[in-house]
Amino acid sequence: MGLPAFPFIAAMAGLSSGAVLLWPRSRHRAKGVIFFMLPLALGFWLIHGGVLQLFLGGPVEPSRAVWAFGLWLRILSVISASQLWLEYVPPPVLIRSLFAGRLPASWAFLLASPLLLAGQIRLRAVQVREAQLSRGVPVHGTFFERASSLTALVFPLVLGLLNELPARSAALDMKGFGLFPRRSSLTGKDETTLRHACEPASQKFPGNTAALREAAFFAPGESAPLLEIPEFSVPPGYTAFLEGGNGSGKSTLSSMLSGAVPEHRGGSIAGDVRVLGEDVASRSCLAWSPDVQAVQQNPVLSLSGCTFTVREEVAFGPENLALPQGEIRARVERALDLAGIAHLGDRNPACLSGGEAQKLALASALAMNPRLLILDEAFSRIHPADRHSLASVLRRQALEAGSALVVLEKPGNASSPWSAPAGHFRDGRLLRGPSPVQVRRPASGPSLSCGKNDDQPVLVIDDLSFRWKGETSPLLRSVNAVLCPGDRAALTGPNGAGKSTLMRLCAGLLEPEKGAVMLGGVPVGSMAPGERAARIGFLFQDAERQIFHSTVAGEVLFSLRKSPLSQEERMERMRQALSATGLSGKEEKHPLDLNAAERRMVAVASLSVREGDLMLLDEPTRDFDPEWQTRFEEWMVSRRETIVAVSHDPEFTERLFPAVWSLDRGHLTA
Amino acid sequence: MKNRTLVLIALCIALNIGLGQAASTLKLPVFLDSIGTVLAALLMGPWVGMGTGLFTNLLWGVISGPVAAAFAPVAMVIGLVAGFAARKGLFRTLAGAVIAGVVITLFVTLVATPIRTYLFGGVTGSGADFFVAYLTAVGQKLLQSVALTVIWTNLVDKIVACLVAQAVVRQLPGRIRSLFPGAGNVA
Repeated sequence: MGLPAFPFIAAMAGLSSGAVLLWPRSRHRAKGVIFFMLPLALGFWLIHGGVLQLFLGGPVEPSRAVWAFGLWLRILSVISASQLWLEYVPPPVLIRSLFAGRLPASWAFLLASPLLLAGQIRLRAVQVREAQLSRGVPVHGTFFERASSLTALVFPLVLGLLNELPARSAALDMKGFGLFPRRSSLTGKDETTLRHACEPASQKFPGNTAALREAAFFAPGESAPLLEIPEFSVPPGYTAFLEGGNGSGKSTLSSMLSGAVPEHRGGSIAGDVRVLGEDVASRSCLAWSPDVQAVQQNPVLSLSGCTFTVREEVAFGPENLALPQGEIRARVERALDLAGIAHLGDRNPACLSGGEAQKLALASALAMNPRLLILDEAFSRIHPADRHSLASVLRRQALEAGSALVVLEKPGNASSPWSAPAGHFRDGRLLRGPSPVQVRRPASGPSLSCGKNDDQPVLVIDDLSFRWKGETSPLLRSVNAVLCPGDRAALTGPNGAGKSTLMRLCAGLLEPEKGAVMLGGVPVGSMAPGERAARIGFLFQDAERQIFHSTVAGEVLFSLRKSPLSQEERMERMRQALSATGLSGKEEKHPLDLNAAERRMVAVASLSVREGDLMLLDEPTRDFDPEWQTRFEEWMVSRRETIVAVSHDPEFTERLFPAVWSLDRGHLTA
Repeated sequence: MKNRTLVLIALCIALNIGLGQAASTLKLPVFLDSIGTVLAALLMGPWVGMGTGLFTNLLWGVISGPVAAAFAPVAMVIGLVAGFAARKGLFRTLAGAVIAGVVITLFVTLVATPIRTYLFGGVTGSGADFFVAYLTAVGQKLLQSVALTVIWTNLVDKIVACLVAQAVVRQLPGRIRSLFPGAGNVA
């Protein structure tokens, strides 16, 4: 078998494997080839070399060894050749040509998008692992411990991903993916014949862009409406600003207006919901995408995963509309300008900060030239200074293009860039005018500072420097700070300044390049993970991602599983923590069925059942409406621990934090 | 195909890749690289499960080379069998899920054995080679030896995959469950 061609096969194998070694670009792949081929050679020798037959006395066939060597050489040549090909055509090049080629776009999507998702999964696995580590879950150790830590990793990960599935698929619909049988491509041939009839977007719609009368949304299987809208309309060129707290119905309205009910949001609509004069149910979410764009809060969920630069990502939607290349380019540059991210055009969309990613999501929606643009808390991660300029740009743009803008925000934002609210959500209804609630604020509470007492400092940051692996300039340069028992410090600074990194260094989750973080005189890096978890509480930016129990009570009790308390004491602690965080009565609820504020509070309650020395809160108030914010503040001022909190809310930091640190270009100023 | 199905398949492929890598970094004795395939099959039926398996291995092929792509039929069979097992109601009970894992292993053996034997001479380059070498040395045919090894290395992994996928579907909040017709087959 294969014997006559033997010299040929050997030459092929030698040639291709030699090429992998000789071509400088592919040389790094040689190690992989060797690590694959050597064990294989060993296996061939074991199975076909007649080694065991010698010992066991079986029949030895020399021809089989030759045949096996031939097969091994063949595998070697295929593997080496494929490595050369993979080096020559790296994934981005392959994906671009797949999208530009004749293959169905859905195939290209399935070969591209999982790569981004796998990246997000890896990132999230790191986050979940950090969160579990900071709660004292063993990540190393015996086989049983590793296996059980895998459960604590797999379930939050998979459940969280499936929970976001509707948001992700709505976002793909919103980009018009699959609306037309053929799409155009910026990198492929310009096929102007593909152009479909598209009305000029600047043409004003004669009536109201969106109009709802006696409308209601019913959750699946419910007879009482979740949201009622007696009357609401927006004419072209106008901006309607609506306020509503956590779980009040903002996202429900956004789903109703963008055609996402019932495909992405199970349930039904009653009453009269008209968009551009049409019944909203007459088209699917996908079919509405050229006219209606809804931008959701989490920008990461709206990335297509099929692109490798910000510019391509913005172009993805217009490409799906099969527009000619010139038109796509013009739309992309305009959208990047409007969102203020023209300078990010060549960056990888997966590597943006939260605020930058929100601007990208906005640009992607603007590039579709929508006649109705819905912003559902779409600015929450953008620096307050940028929100105002974005808001005025969007208002002007809506006026010029004759499109309508519906803005949904939480109430109580003193520095809101939008003018007076046209309506507010209250008790499941959309009512006219601003929300009337006046919120009481807790007093700052006792706070000591190092000058006033003789206590030993709790936290000392001593000449701390940090640099990410492979980066040339350090992220943090010689940071110094001291905090005493009961001190509260707020950490502020622009997006991407390294605030979260500094928090991780304080928690001992990262190793500093130089200097040290000391907790009570001991470097945090040298503490045992269990001790660190007992003394430092960490509320992560996406704290809800650590949740992996199917009940709230189970999740909170998990933090106490190693404590010496009795069962009754644990239950008592859990009840206290739930009442302090406003979750009483929700013990048996599925955490994924709670709204964003409640879910975050579950994580707060998990911190609250223990008492340590230091608490690190990374953007703790981001998801809260005024009521939840008050509850959170009351909880925070009641704690005795020293607190460091990252926040973008100047009002919150000035009122409750005696010390405000600002981090910019690697330097910390108090 | 609806975009929702596409996104689900993409998510499940990413899960296969992510969990497969996690299992090998944590040095667990299971692959965990087919949980996503089984999950897709439970939620959207056998054909979507099959597509998930196919594209998982095609994507592996794009990343790492043609070996993974050669085993694409195996991944397809996992999704297909899991989907039909769910339709037959096997995933309604814990014992049923274990049986489904066994059935999947048997079908995997049927498909994987010829690929391993004829394309790679029965060699994998792992510890399983000792087993195959021993069996052939004591007189077993190569095909049978490979089949036995495939069963031996896959049984635990496929049962774990079925149990995890079943537990995930059961823990899904009702809001998400209602979007998938197949979820009703997993009580």
